[in-house]
Amino acid sequence: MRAFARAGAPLVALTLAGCLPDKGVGYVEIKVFPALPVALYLNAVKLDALKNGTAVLRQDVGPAKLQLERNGQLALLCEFDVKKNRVITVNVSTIDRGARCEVQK
Amino acid sequence: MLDVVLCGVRRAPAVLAVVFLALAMPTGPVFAQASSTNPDGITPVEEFSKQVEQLKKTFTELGKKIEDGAKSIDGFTDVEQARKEIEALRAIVAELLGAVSDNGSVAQLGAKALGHARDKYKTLEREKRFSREEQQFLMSAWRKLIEETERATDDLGNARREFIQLLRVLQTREDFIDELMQIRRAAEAAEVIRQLTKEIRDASDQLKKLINAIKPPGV
Repeated sequence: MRAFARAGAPLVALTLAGCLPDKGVGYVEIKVFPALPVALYLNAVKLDALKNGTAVLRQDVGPAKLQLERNGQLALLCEFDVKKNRVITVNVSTIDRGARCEVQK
Repeated sequence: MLDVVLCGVRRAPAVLAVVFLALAMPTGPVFAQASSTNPDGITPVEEFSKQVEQLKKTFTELGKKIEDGAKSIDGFTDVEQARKEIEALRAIVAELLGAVSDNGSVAQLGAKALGHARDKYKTLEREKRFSREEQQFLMSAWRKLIEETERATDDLGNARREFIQLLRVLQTREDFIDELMQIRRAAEAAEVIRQLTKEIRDASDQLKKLINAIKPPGV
């Protein structure tokens, strides 16, 4: 029975997940200039090093937030809405040792 | 909520089939044993190469759909119908973008392939088992693979930029058409649609060139 729970439960969950309404995905383009010495997070997901200061990420539709890690804690940079099959650009710039975020729809 | 419940009822036979399969399947350690004894384990570079090859086919198919979409928009006189076609085109371009996004499986596979090839090159540098000529031969082969993998990831990066640009054109034009329709300027909206068709055709040509330029590593 325990073996069933281990092997079967995730599969059943996946099958049932197919029943949930599909909200779709959109895209977030993140541009950082100049480079930040700290890590960025899209919601709770840490972004790997950005190639040429840019990343294009597939993201579930709905509210999202860009955060940066400061003294071991996440600080909010900006919030935006990700829409289905649409791209939203977030420009991050550094001014006076602080980061500024601008959302371009 | 009701939709989810109804869907669950409709899918009951499928769920039961999955439960049956799960029970019939061997558990974790058996799988681990099977994969670890497989001598033909595909390297990340080969896997990445296959994925890029597959992507090129998908790009070509979807590129054709973009072209067809542009043609049909051109023929529409009904703005609302054209707007729906633009929405459909956005879905196609978004699908293309999804394939090459930085958190997509292909990009992650590319990074893994590059890491693997670089590690292999470094290991060979320290290798003492082979003669100098053999070592040089192997290192040169891996160097070539590294360069090709870097080129392929760059090509995908270029594709990512093109798709982003095209998606932005489509959504901006669509928003503008919506605004024009709200102030009941159908003639202007139709003109924007005609211009958009030209832009999509130009983008489609660019995509074709881009698709032809993408070379999977090791091919």
